[in-house]
Parts: sequence; structure tokens; C-alpha cells
Amino acid sequence: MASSVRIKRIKFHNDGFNELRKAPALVSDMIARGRRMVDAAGGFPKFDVIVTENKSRARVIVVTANADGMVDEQTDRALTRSLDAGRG
Amino acid sequence: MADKVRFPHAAKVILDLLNAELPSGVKAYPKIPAATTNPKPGKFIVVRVVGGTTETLVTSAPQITVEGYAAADSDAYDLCDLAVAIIRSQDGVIRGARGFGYPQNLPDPTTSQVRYTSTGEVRVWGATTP
Repeated sequence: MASSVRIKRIKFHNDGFNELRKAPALVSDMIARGRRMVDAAGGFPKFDVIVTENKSRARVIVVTANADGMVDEQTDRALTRSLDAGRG
Repeated sequence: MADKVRFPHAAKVILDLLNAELPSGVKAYPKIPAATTNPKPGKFIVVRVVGGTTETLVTSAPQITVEGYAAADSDAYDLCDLAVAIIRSQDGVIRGARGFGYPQNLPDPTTSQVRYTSTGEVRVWGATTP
């Protein structure tokens, strides 16, 4: 007969989650995805990658970086189309 | 050998659906109609495929951008919203739309018309071929 285990309490270690969400390997992967998107959209200086970090997580944002990039997104959806380049 | 599963061209399917259901006088296009189009449409919709994934063996999930153009702000919004509603209501080759955002006003520098746009995914069902 299988023995049963009763879980009485689960304690999450939020510091661990925060550490994971800011881990250098994770950030490197996100930056690589962002750079692939920049290349797919039309490259720097039209588009750029911005990396930010707060207490709980790191964040990578791909943005239009100059007027030409903005026009490319407005007329041809260059940045929107680049989303696939950032996938796995 | 495994079955070959083919997927229809999502943009063409959606354009056909929209043009069958839109009110008379409003058409959907794969790109902005040329300035030489006569008469130049006052209101129209543009459908673009901007990416997507193969979701399962029998479904794909293209990402679709729907844009409503009109002279008046409220008309452009209504067009975009109507196009998304038509896409969401489909129950055939395309069934299952998700993630379409609330229509946003995104000015188009190439025209004085107002543009409202929404992007989301549709689920396209494939069919086996010999």
C-alpha cells in the first residue's frame, strides 16, 4: 500500500525567485533574444535593446531608437514582425 | 510516412471572410490601397500577418494585425473593432482567436486618415493532403 504524505505548509523563498529572475544566464538569453529582434527589425540604430533591473526581476525591452525606426514600425510593422526572432 | 498537414494562407482566409461580412462600401485589403485606386476608399481595413507559430500538429497560430482606416476617429475605431469581432466569431478553418488588444490609435505617417489597430493570434486548422 502506498503511504500518503500530508503537506501541511508550503513556504516560498521569494528571494530565490528574485535571484532566478535576475540570473546572469537568464539575462544573457533575454539580451540575445532582443538582439535577434533588433536584427530582424532592421538593426541598430533604428532599433535597440534596453536592459533594466529592479528588486525582483530583470527586463529586456526592444524599442524603436530613432525616427527612421519609428517610421518603419508605423508603416511596415517592422518591430512587431520581429517578435518571432525572439522566440525560443 | 506521416501525414502531410497543410495550412491555408491565414491572411487570404481572413480577407475573404471580412469582405463577405463587412458592410457594403467597406473592403479589406492586404495593404493600403494605392493612391491611384479609383475611387480612393474613405474607409477600409488592412490585414497583415506579422508572425506566428506552428501550434500543434494540426493547428498553426499566425499573428494577425488588423487596421481600420477612416477620416473620423470613431469610424476608424469601429472598423477595427468590427473586424476583430468578425474574426473572433469564426467557426470554420479559423476558429479560436486570442490576445487581440483593445484597438489603439496608431497614426500612419503616409496618410491623413486615422488608423486604429489591434494585433492578436488566430488558430488556423490544417488539413491532411496525400
